[in-house]
Amino acid sequence: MDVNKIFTLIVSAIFINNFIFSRFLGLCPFFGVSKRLDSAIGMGFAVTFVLVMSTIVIYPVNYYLLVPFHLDRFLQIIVFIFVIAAFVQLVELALKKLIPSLYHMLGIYLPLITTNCAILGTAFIVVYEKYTFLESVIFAFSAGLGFTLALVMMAGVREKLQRAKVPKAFKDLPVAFISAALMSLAMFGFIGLVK
Amino acid sequence: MKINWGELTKGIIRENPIFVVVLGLCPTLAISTQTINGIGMGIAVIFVLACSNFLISILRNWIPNEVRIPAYISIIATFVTIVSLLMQAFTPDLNRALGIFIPLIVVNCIILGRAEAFASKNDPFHSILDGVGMGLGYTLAVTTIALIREVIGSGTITLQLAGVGPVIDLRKYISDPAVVFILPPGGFIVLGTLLAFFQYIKNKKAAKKK
Amino acid sequence: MEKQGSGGINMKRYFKIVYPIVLIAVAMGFLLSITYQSLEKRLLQAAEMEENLTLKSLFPYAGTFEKKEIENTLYYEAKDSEGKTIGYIFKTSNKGYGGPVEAMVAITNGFVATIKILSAAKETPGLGTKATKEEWLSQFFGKTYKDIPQTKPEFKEKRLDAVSGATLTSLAVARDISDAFKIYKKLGYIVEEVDLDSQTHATENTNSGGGK
Repeated sequence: MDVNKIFTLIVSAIFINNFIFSRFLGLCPFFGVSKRLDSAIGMGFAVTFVLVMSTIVIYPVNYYLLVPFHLDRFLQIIVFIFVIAAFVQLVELALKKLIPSLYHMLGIYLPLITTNCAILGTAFIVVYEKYTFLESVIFAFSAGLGFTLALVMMAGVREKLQRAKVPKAFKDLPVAFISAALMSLAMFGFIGLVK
Repeated sequence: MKINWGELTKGIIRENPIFVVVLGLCPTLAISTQTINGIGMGIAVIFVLACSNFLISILRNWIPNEVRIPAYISIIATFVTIVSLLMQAFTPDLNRALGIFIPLIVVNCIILGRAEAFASKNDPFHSILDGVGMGLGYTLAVTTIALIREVIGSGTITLQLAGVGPVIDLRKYISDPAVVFILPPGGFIVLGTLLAFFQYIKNKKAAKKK
Repeated sequence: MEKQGSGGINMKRYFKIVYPIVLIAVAMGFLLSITYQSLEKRLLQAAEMEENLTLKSLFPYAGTFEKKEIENTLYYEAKDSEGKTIGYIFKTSNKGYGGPVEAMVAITNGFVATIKILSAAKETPGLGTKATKEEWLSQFFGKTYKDIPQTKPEFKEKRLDAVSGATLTSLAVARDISDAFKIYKKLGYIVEEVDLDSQTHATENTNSGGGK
């Protein structure tokens, strides 16, 4: 097992190619949920969980079911999204029974995880980059962490922005975008971190 | 049947999916580094929106409520795959430029949103209008963002598809393009500023009413 | 769903809800496979055309390109219209600044005929992309293996220019070229090497030839 490659993978997924600030995956919930810190954390964990679990299921489905029959050329999209949708449904039911407080806090954003570009995007990245199973899972987990990190950072900033004097036209969403721009710029500092 | 053309025009400005409703952001910012990318992605989205709205509208009374989301997603995924295959076959360079964001059209909130909000409740003809209108609005928005980013960020306007078409070079007027605009931060800045612009107009309209 | 009533009524309701989605899934799957079948030829053609265009641009006078393999690495042998070998094209890849820099290196008679950068998508726009332009690449044309730098100082030693502000990208391209020579050597050709040939570049570089 190449430790260096795994380390690069993790650091790259969390910082350098951060899903939100660099790859632009997962933006819709990003701007919708990041207003408050607690919902941001909850969403981050939920997304990380779905990311890892769906990758674990999609990987064998792709490589043992689709590819051997050459079905991946035209059934990949529909099969992947089905797996994700089914999985999110399961998570919804499970949360409703086990952690109802989280279920109610996430509200409508929970089923919306299905349409989170980050989940489907990860599945496709894993396929394009030809990661091994272990690499895929580590990648999914790191990507989720990066996503959570971005959400939390954003929530912290937005909570403060609510009370700041922002020009009327920029209030709420536009200034959030500008803040995201600055954070994205800051992420560039990490590029030299891994060779 | 009375034709309500408003269903077509509403998606272009008044209910523009990106600038007004602010949905479907992910691909918008990621691919808007070249003008042709915006146009290409926009056309793909129009195709998927029109087809899926149409089919979903036809089947709207047959699909049981409990399974409507998976049903809509299957239909949308099918048309997205068709678009993807068409692009791989006929416009491979655009296909490479748009990358994973072509399959990601499936989870573009705009498409599922229109299916749920409109196509499931209206007749097929108007559903097509709605889809095309929203698609046009989307195309307009992405292309505008891409145009701004490309001009400021690389000093060019790329309108080349499958080897055909011009690449307008403005570098004699813009000597040193601000590269940051075609990098991720630039995307956030341009969209944020445009959103502020639209919010400004909205505020003005509301003030006038008072 | 309520659990009252007999199991029979429940099953009927369940079936009524499930069969439409199953039907849709099957219908869509069917639609997709017909679409794919009708486009399959065109798809393969498009992929081949892309490849051929690049190959042709490297050896414009070649008649045919033969795809060959050595030690799990693919390469192309360019032949003229009479079947005589005029050169080889190697596809190599090394990590640059933000990602892999993929190059197609055409070697003939032991020196670089021409190079084309296939992809340098994650390099810095504006700076790193200078290393993909023929203007900069042309300095390598006509060079042999021992003329290719392996480290930044070697650029200066061998009187070549690295792109200022894009050292990693420039090095990636240089390594792509020397990797191509290494495969060329494996084919049995004699390649003059540097005396201190103790692998000046680390083995972390990836080669795009061997897939999974």
